[in-house]
Amino acid sequence: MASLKPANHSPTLIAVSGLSKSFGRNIVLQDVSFSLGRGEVLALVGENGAGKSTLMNILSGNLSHDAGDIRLKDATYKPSSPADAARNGVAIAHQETAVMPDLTVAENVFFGREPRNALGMIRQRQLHSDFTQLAASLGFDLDGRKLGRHLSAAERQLVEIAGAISAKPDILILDEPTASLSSEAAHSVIRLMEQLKAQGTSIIFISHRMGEIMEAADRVVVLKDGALTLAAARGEFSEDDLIHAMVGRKLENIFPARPARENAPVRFSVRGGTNENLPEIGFAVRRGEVLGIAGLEGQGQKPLADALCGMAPFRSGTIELDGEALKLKSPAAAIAAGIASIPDDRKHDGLALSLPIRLNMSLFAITERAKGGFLPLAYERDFVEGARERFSIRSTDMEQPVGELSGGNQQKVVFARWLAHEPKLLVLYEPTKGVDVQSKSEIYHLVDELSQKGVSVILISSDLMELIGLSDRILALYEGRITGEIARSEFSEEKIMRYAAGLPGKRQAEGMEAAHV
Amino acid sequence: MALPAILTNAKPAAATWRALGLLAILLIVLFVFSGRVSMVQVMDNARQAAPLGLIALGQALILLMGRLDLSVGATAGLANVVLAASFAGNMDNMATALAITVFFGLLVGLANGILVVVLRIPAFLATLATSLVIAGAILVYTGGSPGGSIPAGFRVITEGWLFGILPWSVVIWTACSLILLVFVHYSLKGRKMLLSGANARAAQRNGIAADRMVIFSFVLASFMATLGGILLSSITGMASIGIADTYTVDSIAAAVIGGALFSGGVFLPAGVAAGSLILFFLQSLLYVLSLPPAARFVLQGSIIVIALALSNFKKDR
Repeated sequence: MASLKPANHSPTLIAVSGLSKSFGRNIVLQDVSFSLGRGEVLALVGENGAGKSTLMNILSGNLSHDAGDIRLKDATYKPSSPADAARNGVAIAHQETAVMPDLTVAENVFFGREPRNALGMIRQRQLHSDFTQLAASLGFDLDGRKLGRHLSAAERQLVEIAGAISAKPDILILDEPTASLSSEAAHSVIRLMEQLKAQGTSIIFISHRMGEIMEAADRVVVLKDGALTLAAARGEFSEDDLIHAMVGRKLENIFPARPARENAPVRFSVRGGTNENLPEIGFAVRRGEVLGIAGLEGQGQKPLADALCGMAPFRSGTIELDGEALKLKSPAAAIAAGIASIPDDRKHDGLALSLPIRLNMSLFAITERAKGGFLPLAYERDFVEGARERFSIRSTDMEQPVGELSGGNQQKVVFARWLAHEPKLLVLYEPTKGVDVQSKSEIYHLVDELSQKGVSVILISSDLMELIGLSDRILALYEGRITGEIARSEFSEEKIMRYAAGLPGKRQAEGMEAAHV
Repeated sequence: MALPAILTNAKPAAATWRALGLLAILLIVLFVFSGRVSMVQVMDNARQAAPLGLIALGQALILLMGRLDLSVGATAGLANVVLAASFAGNMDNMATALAITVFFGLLVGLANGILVVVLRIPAFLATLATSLVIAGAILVYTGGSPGGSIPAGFRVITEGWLFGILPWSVVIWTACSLILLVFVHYSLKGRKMLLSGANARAAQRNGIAADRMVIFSFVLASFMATLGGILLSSITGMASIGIADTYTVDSIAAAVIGGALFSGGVFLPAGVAAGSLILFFLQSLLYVLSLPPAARFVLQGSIIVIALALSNFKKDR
């Protein structure tokens, strides 16, 4: 394990040693140690599920740790609640989504700490003068009386940060402050961080963006699967070190062996597809091809998946399926055209959890076979039993509510629904989120099987292993645009991460990377 | 496992058995205290419970969609006033009277559906608003004293008995329950209603026009409330203001006792029937025990608590 060199320029403010945390049998943090000096900026880096949020929640008093020791200003620090953490000078700014839409900017910033009169009512005038003072000291130009719902994403993020700063913390924790911001807006957040740092505040920020980490961080801590894989001070790490520390792992043998398919005709294409959440997107999928779409969180994956399944259609652009122009105005239109889609959030978007497996699985099968508006019940039973065997779905019977099944079995029910008639295009969005390894492998083999039959697959995923193991070609998505294309022979996690982090320019380095993989 | 597919689909849910069990217990208690419960007495109670039974069926359809209709009582009252006025005591007016009454009922349902789906007003507020509009309109139109009457020839539907053993209103109620059971559980459209009721977002994503299903359910519920209002008119024979106001709350109670869930996705007509009968036999029990009528609310509340506690108890195990 890499260890941090003792800080040589500023006194240590917080030192974490041997920190561990598990939920049941699931170890989420394992023996993590690092330290941070006064007025330093530390970037906390790692893939989704690496343990960043857990670490952050422990520091901010939302979770307690199982083992290890945190020393803050040379005293043991084990906050019992966020309020306790705040009393010790540790404040957290959540992602911009936490801003309350019906409160004003000033009310959001001072939420829970509003100046009150003897009757417990908020002293609005005092609140606004406090806000004006704070805004002036931070140098931002926001109307304190504006409602949360009228703010842009960047403004909401600034409000969240201002809220945390208003408590005058020694340590400010920022949870992905730039995740949903354009690079310009992200810059204003980085400038704010530098300003706070100059005032002596220590900052821990979570980020996926290599550029801003290199620019703003005095130190980095990289987590992978709950363990620390890199802790280094500025000048001691490169972008490549970070990426390697984030993803360095081996592929397991859960993927099907896939022959290359490069000469098949194009089956589905989008050109100049735009809507309010997608600046402009274009790509094409061949017959029987699995096209992976990689990207860090919030780079347009959801809008893209929603557009392809007709939930949030493209406003402009050309869509073609098997050479015919197509409008995907609604889910019904997409389904009728032969586009099947697996949503990332099966509990909300995929299944009626309280209803039996049978009802959840049979929709498309019975729609085709219904006679005179009545359900073909015998056929439904055969279809459902057949699918259950084929997918080895583990349940008491097919009348069991689907909500009682494990994540993997639930996902198999979602897949099985589409087997009534083979789709032309299958859009998968995080198809194995919360799915056990066994079911994962079964899903991968099913996807492979379908693609062998000519079904085109678009695989939108944040799981690099899955993208590399299953795709024939990978596109990188960054801020709602395709920023890179990687052929199968050149797949490497480093290369995908580089594109996904918005660093498309390093063409000359690519050859070397491909060689060492 | 050996059940044929057609039966599996209509297998009574645990909630239905619970409601029927409560009903059985109530009948036994009634028997113990009064010393006699005859078939005729049971049927006569069922006869009077039929309007509530029909209105509660409509409410159950709305609950199936995960919504609430607070206008069913007002809609039944509207049917009463309109039917009496357009009948004017003359059997010759039957076709027109029924047509006008049903037309008004469907109109209310359509208005509810549009308020909820197009204007995105939460169902219980939208239907509360329609119920106020209806009540006000009735007062304005009738000046507080509604006219007309239901001719004796028509009143056979609630006062007459088939072969002297089965009241016609019970026949109508049973037929409506069966039709809705077949519709929801055996037709494709009904299946789509179930899926969108249990999870509208997922249904929409799978190409089901979930919004249209909601409008349809409100129209159907208002139709059922209108049928209930027609039976109620037949029982009283005349128009009165606010005759069905209590039916809004009673219909919710009956549906919930019968296993309906506020979260949607459940439609159990047998349970709803049991729930409606339970509310009526409770009244009989009050007479037998010579308790004040107000005690009915206490008992009604207790029954709802018992029904829900039983279902939660089962879930926790």
